[in-house]
Amino acid sequence: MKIHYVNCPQCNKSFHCDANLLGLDIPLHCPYCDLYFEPEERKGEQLPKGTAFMGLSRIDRKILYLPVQEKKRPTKV
Amino acid sequence: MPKDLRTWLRDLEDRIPGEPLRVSKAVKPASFEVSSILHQLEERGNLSAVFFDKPTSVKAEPSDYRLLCHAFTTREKLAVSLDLQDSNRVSLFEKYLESSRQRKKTEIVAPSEAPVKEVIIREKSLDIGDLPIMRHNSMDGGPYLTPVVVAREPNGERYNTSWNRMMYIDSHHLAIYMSPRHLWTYFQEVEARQESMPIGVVLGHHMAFMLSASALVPPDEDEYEVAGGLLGEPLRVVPSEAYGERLLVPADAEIVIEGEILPQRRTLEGPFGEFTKLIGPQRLSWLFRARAITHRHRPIMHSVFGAHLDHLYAHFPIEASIFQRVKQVITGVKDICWLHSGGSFHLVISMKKRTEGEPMRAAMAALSASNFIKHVFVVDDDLDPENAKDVMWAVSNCCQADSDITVLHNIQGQLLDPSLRQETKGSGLIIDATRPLDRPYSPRAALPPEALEKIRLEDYISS
Repeated sequence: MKIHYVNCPQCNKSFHCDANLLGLDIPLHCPYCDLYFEPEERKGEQLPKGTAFMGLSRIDRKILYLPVQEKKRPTKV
Repeated sequence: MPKDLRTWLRDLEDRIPGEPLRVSKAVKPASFEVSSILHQLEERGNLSAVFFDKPTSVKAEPSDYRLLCHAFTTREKLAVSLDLQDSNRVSLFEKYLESSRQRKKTEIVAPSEAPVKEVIIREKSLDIGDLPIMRHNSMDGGPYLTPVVVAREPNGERYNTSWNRMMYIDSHHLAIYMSPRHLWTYFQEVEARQESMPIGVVLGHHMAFMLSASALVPPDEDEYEVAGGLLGEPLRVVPSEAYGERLLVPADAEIVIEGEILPQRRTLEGPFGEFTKLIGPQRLSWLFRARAITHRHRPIMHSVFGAHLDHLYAHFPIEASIFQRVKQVITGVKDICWLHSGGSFHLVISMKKRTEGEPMRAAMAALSASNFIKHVFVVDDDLDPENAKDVMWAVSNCCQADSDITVLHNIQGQLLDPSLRQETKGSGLIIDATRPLDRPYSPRAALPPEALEKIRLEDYISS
């Protein structure tokens, strides 16, 4: 799996994610400060048909579940 | 009395003096306090099971739950789990394989006879955050459960048991990661019908039951029956609160979270420290919603310490199953070693070679048995497969790269292997480091045994 390191815009700490996440219209979750944020770089390879492993024909924000409190606050920072 | 986690703990106390270690001070599992204690014990070579009397909830509040960790860290504890006196690796393989073959039909009991129903928390009032869920390693995406997940085959009667890491999200939701094995296959089928899949999240039972989750058995076999074989008695099951007889859950479990994996929903999960001792990346995983929690009074939650020895040893049944598969193909196989080979995806086979080509066939059997195996080293039966120096000696002295090393392309890899360049596909390696049979070969350097017996070092060297 290709991974990509990102910096959290709030705590500035670094963590890594599946690089494909950057190609999807979804936020990332900082494991250190719990912030959900839109990554600045969307470098990943877009997977318009989803991935066979995930078993979905389409992956976008509609299928993504975020914790209840996160729905109440904007994900953009 | 049916076997459960409490009988396992009593057996452990009887068999291994000093175990489990007991921590009576309050600890905060979600703030790395439990993992810090376990890590320091492991660093000091103390691999005892650890029983925490007062772990707090995810919200750092006092809880009624207790917590057991390091239940798999030694062969001696595996021997307790399988009711075996000897803790030699091959003896454990043979006992595990023999027990798992003794399939036992489950026994359905009434809720009134099921300890796991002593406390029932229904959907409206449940909160998964009340549990003492550990953060295991830095960068973990959240507190993580390490349960055995039980699921009924869609349109069938068979049950699957599997280890699945589950990340705490909120009061009713967990992320669940599934490798492409049986549970994933079940869900593929159910999701195609736009339906959710009921599962039971088992957080504590006799360790023989927990080990059934690593069993490599064909998809048409019932893993509840395998668990019965390992327990040495039928697994007692009870209809779940949320799904009734559609989902039978272990009656003697400590805690079961009942709920379902939702169709057409995914969530962010990770990073998480895996058995590779590497932190796997944040990724999309599946979404679980809880419908009920049932547990015993003063429940004991079991947690496997991620990315540490405990995590590795929980895979013991896989190692035993690979041993069986390889031995079925090549009877001269004496021993194998995966968990202590020094590499997460290395396997060493020690065998008595009778014809050239047998090492290759044995290695291919291992590679086909499990996608946990990527590199196979085959050595002669006079070497200990657990001794990495022995193995490297054989590779160095019995192997020519142009003829004894084979690279296999385009085979399914382990998704948790960070070196995979494609989502699921990778390569394999076989190193035949056995001595050749088709020409004379130098013997290993050794002294005459009679000379060694005659000389007493103390007579010549004063200490």
